[in-house]
Amino acid sequence: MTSRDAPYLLRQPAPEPVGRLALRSLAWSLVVSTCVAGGVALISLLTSLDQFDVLWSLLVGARAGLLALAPAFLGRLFFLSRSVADRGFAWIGLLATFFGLGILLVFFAQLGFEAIAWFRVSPELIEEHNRMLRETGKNYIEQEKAAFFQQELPRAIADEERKLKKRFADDPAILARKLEEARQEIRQEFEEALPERMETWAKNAQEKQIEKEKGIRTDTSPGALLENFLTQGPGDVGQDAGIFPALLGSLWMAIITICLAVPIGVGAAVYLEEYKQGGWLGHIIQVNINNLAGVPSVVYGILGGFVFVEMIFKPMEQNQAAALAELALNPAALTFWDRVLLWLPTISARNVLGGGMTLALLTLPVIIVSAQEAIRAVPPSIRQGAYALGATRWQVIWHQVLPLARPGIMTGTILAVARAIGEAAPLILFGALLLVQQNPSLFSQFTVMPMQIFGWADRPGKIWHHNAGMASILLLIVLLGLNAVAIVLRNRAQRKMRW
Amino acid sequence: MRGTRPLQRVWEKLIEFALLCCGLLSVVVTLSIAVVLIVGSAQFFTLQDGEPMALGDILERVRYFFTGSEWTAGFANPTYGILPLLVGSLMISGIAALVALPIGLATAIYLSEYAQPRVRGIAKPTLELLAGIPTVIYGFFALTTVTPFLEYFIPGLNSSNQLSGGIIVGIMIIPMVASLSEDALRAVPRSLRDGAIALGANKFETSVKVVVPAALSGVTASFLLAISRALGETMAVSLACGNKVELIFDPRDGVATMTSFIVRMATGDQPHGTTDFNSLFAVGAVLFFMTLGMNIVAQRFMRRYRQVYQ
Repeated sequence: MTSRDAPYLLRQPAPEPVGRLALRSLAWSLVVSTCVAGGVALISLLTSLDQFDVLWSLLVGARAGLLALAPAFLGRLFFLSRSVADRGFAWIGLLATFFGLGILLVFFAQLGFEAIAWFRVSPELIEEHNRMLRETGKNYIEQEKAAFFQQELPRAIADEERKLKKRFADDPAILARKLEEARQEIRQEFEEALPERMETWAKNAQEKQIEKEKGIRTDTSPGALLENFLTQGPGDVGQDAGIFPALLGSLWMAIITICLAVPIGVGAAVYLEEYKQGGWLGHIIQVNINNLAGVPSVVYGILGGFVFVEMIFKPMEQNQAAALAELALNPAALTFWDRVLLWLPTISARNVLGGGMTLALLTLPVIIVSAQEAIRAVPPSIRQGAYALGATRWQVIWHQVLPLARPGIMTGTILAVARAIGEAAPLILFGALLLVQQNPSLFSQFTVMPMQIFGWADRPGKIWHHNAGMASILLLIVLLGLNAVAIVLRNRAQRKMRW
Repeated sequence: MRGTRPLQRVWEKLIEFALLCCGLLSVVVTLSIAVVLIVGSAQFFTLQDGEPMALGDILERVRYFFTGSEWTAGFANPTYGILPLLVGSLMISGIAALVALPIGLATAIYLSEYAQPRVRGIAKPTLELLAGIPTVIYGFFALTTVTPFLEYFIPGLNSSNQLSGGIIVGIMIIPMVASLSEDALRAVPRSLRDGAIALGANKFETSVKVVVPAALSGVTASFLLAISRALGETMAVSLACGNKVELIFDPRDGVATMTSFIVRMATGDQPHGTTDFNSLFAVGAVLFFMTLGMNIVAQRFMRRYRQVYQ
């Protein structure tokens, strides 16, 4: 077929007169920006009537007009020309898509700067702190000496004066002489007592010095700084603070979340996918899970704070204390529950178990939805084959469906745990706050890494921000590691299983 | 099941029951959230520091809670009108929506209509990464990066301000808008696109005039879910936006939101059971029912596009 045979088929549409359209939109944008300039000038004139500076208003208007020129031109051209719109949108879409990547790079750069600053600032602060600690003894002696002569001496003199004034109130001449004598006497007494005092002070100062010098950190190499950060607890001295208890707390949260949320979540997913497809009960549960996934995490915190702290663990804490008192007074009156409570370690109301349970509830919808997808991806032919061999429903699920769905379930679990580790809002109501020094156990108070970051970032002072930056890097490394494991698992599963 | 032994039949029933319990636990969680919030709010409305109030006072407190414009919990003679907190939350979500909805939708259109597989291969993991960063780290960025950056351009910017919080929340919800909208756009059948192209439309016109309107319910659902997420965002907002509880419409100034108020109340030294502390439940209830409502509407929209194109 040639163009002569069917011209209507192959004729190219006339190319768009982009140049003319550009001129038109230029004219349009000039009109618009003049209007904008005039409007802004008028408004600024009217809003500053007391000054009534026409020239200044015109300048402001002109600036606004110039600023409006480019957007007006591009916008008009976008609407007038189809080809410009098509190509332009490709660029806009690309920019929007990689906006996120740009932001990520900026963020990582910022974290890198925080880390560098941390490594640079910490040694200086440590040096300064060390100097203060080394001079503890000298400062102590000077302080005591100053107190001795400037507070104790005047006080002793004043006491003596009061007594003399009472005794010789009616004879001013004798009083003046006696006063002078007393002053001399007391001052001499003090001078004589000084060497003895100095000895005591020196001894005390030495003790204090030895005590404080334990806090001196001589090694300020990056490795030692990092070791300190990773193994110490948070404190009031910014450069000495570390993340270790928070790290352990996060680990506990991950373990409890896995132990509680995974069995329940997978169970719910199996029920929804294998037992009750299309039933009204299944429908209710499904809708409920979808809605639960959108509940703000801080609301879970309120739930956990009310149920786990106020209703479960606070009474347990109080009963345990009561049982302990009872044990001392009257061991025979202990009930069975008292004995159980005594057998448990010391319970605090806001403890690791409660926090873990709250996070398990929070991650439950995530785990259920991903497990459902994994189970749905198992082809029906496998189930039918197993049924044909006489397996019961549970045997089919346990021996065929779940093993095949396992990679998907594990991926979902890891992502859920990553979410649980990163969440701080639900734990706010657990008072999981800043200065938890002890390493957490199941029933003790705790803090987690995001809480620690929140506390540090909220604190005035540069070093705390640097600490928060370091902790953020650590948290991100943990999360990225988890995500990488999830991606590897997913890819391996995809490669292995071709149905 | 006919050939199975009776013991096994019992076992099967037991397992089904256990699995049902697992499924019902999520319903129990939802119900207990609602119950806790309602009970706590009831305590807030009816008790004054543990003492029951007269009916008139209760009604007055309820009326003022929904219509009053002053929230002075923690001061002497406190008043509890939720409007400042609500406006704070809506301001932050509004700024976040202004950032996230255009960028997210443009990303979704680009990824589903324009992008080469190679570009998708880079963009998708990036978005997932962005979605996986903990919110408290976003808050830290708002504090140390976004606010100093904005200070270059905007005179009179407070060190804790709505603008940086809103922008950072917006960045946080971009992946959500993008991936949910993209799912909706991809669910639009190819025939619609082919029809548009056959009529002479170019790619931009196909996307904007055919694909997006066809996927409108899904796109709306993604917007609603993202905004409800922004409303519930806690740590970033309480780090970046401060805790000034006032009716503030100036985005350069800091403001407390419902979530950051809950955080301040929970971390402060208010004893449990006081009216101030119980106000946390009322605020939480408003937050919960708002986001729940948006989620339910969004789920309905989502179901619609799934039904139409399957």
